Amino acid sequence: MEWTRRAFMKGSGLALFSASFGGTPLFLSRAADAANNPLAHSRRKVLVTIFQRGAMDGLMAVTPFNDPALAEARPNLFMHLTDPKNKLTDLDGRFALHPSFADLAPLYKEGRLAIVHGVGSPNKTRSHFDAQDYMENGTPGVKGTRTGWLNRAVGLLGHEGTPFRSVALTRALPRAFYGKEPSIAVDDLRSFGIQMPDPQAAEQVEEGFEAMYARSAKRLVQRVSQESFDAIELLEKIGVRDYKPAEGAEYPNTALGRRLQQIALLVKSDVGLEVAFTETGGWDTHVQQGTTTGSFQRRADEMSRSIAAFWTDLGTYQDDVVLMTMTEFGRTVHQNGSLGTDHGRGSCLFVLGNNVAGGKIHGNVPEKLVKDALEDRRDLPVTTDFRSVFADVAGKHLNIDRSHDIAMFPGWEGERFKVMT
Amino acid sequence: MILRFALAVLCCGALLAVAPAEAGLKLPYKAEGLSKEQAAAYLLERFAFGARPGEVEKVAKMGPEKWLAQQLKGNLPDAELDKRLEAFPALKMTQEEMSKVYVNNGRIRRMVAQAGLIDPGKTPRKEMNEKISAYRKEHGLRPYGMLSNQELKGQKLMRAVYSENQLTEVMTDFWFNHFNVTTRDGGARPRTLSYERDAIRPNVLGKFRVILGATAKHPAMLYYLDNAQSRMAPPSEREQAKPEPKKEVASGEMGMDGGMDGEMMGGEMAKAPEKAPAKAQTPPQRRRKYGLNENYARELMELHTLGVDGGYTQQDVTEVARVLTGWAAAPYGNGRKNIEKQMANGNKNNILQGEFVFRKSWHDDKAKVVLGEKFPAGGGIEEGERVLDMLTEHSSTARFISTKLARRFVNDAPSDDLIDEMAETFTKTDGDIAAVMATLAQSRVFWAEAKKRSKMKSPLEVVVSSLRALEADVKNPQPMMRWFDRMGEPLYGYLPPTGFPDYAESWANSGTLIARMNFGIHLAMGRIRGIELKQLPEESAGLTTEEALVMYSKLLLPAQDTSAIASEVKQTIPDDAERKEVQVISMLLGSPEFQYR
Repeated sequence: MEWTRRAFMKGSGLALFSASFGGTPLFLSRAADAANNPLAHSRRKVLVTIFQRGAMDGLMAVTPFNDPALAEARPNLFMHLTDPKNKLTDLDGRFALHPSFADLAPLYKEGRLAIVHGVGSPNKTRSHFDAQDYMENGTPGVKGTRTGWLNRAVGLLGHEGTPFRSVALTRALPRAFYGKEPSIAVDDLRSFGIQMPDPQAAEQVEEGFEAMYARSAKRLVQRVSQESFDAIELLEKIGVRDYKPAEGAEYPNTALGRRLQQIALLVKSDVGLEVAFTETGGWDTHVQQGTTTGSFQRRADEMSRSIAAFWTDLGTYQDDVVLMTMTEFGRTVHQNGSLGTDHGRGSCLFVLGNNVAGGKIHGNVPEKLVKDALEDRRDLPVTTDFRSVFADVAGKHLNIDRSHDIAMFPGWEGERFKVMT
Repeated sequence: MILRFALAVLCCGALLAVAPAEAGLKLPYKAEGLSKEQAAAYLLERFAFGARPGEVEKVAKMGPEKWLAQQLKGNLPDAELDKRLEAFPALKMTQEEMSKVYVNNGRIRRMVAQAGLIDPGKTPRKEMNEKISAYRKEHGLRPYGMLSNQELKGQKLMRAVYSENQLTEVMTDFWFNHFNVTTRDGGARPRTLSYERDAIRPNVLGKFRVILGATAKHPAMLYYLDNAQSRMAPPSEREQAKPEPKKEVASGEMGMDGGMDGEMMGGEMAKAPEKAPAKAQTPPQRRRKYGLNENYARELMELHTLGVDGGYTQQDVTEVARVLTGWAAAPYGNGRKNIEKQMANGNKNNILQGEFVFRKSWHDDKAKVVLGEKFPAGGGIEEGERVLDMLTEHSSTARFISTKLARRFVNDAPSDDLIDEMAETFTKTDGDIAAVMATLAQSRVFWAEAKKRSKMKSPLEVVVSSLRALEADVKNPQPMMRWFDRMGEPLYGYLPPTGFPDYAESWANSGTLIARMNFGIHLAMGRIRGIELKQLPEESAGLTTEEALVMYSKLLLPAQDTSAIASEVKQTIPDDAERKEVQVISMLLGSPEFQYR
């Protein structure tokens, strides 16, 4: 990695100014940054991904509210547009947004948010593990793939990165990040550093370790430790502990809220972030899924408030960022005997960004979800291969050429799905 | 070249002369300039999870050769460990018993509903949960997650720390990783404990063919790599049913979560409510999916035996997959009883072997060609056994296994000479793992590494070597688990079948290196619950930095020159610091030296 401490600190130091003192015009610091920093990593495009683990019910998130077949299949879960209690947002006369995703409605109306419906994997597994594995390794049906698709995407960027190039706000390294490109996986950036109750002692110990590793004959740990200590220093400077989001950005006080807030901080601090990953669980709504209240509603509410706050918080950095959600599969069209839904096939995903073909519901959903129109007579059919969407979003936003799609998704020879402008 | 050849002959000669490994190992440590103590310390780092206090001296005194011979046998009494393992009842259960005791949320909900105590569609959640937990207590049922999260992971840590048969535990870690499965796979999850207990651990120093066969037939592997779903349609339906290349999990194993940080997501497939409508409305042929699944066949050759360039083709993968159709997981209850009855009556349609069953009706009985060898039609289960024999005997396997062992025990890029030597032993002894290990231990190359200390410890090795050196009393292994996650080795949590990569670059990144330092600090400060360090009693509070350094360097980095660390530690710790020994231990545990073995 041709990344030097001095250049990094210098570049970021300038950007800090903008992050910590919100009043400074960003263009000023950016201009200065670009002039002084030959690496010019400050102005990098960032892809933020959120994995909804457990399989989100796409038909409840973005519901075809006119479909009598769906109403019949879901006597307790169907949401009627006309019922004022439901507070659905009509998106295009056919689909409506669940009330708990309401915070995303303005972004859709402004044309920044696109929805792809009927998206999923060509592999028909309905096992969470296998489907998540395939969605993250990017090779449906092939388990032996050693690397993850986001790690491969990073490898295709064609320029050097900083230690913050690839960051997962998760407890363990996600499968999508497996591979040779260095990544950081940390549950909470505030815990990235030497942890001791006495801050003064922590500082001393940190310095001690820094000296120890600097003289180590083991070049690998010598280099990595240098990056680590620089990263710690940087996180301190950008104020990860007392970060104040931009005005109007109200993150929910939840894990996802905190994680997206920390991603926003990294974006705004120009530390060289290019690919971020985080996740949210609890979408596996087999029992009492609920409509306007219940387990689905709680997850949706957390997610939409987190994303909306994140977007507001980005401010002028919105131009640099695209956010994409994903989930391993959808759920059965019919409700089950526990007022929930079981493992299905197609679901929907969200893509948010200023260069997104937003304000539109892409993809194919059968006009009427009658049994004959369903996959295996039970599920929303997968009409769009997730790889075609991922390739378009990552490819266009991160400037990865089409010819590299085969490297990003080995074995895939499909066309990119046009969801970016 | 001639000299090298002569050396190889000499080494082999030496090996043949000592065929039973324990008879007379010759460890050339002196030739590499090592004292007996240094040799003992090195062996304890490589063939064990590190030295306990006084152990270097003990091994030096009894002789490194004798110690290693004992370890290669792996049958020392283990009283303390056995006592500690009593905390994990699943270790004494059969797989079927485990499946009855460790019950997931969906299943218990149905059980309680069937008992008429709740109505899942109506009973409020809170009341439902109370009823369920009362039912669990009454019937001695344990939460499903406990099996893999508490017991499986807990016993691994306990065994690594306390077993006298250290090499067995090191090898268990090695072979599990070689034949990796993960608890994040819903099918493998409840079976991983018995997989390690029954298929791996008893075979880690035996014949390769045995461990290969045991993993091939264990349900954890059968589910993880989908062979349990790989089947031919029965002859009566074969004409109508088109081959389905993709796996279809229609029921059963898809239950558990997909592993959001390993936490439960309430992700049970609600079987009962789904079945009723499905029966009525779905044509019967949709309920059954037939088709070849190549996942296991491919990894069997690429990862378990020949290696990726080991000389097989995609055609071989398909053929081996066909050979292995019908290799499936045995059913429980009535399904099992029926098969037993059939077998007793001389019916050979199903062959039951413990947790494994060969189902003739699922087997592709046509002729096949594997690696150039012809298999006539109708070979049954025997052709699978024959393929495993062939793979074991293949020269690529001897090299591939030798390379992986050398990478684990010697260095990240082991020399061809060493691999050749080990592979030769592998071939001569029909894949005797202990003999291959003896060859490794007797090589000059192995001992030449002692002073380089070039092998980066895995997080497991960091944790366990710390706990052993400081004589930890592990009262509860659970709080340690998140440290494995943070350091990048979530136990039983590596998703792809490759297992964790075994080289330094894969362990060291900005996040995980800091986590290693923090682990040391937390351990020394007593901030990891459930663990007490006997080597860090209250009375050590009076030690000076110098005294603490002398004492703990000897424990943590025995028989090594630690003068450089000492000076840094002294500069770091102020004279007026309280409990200097805690800081000394923190610094030693986090030092670059401690990250290597």
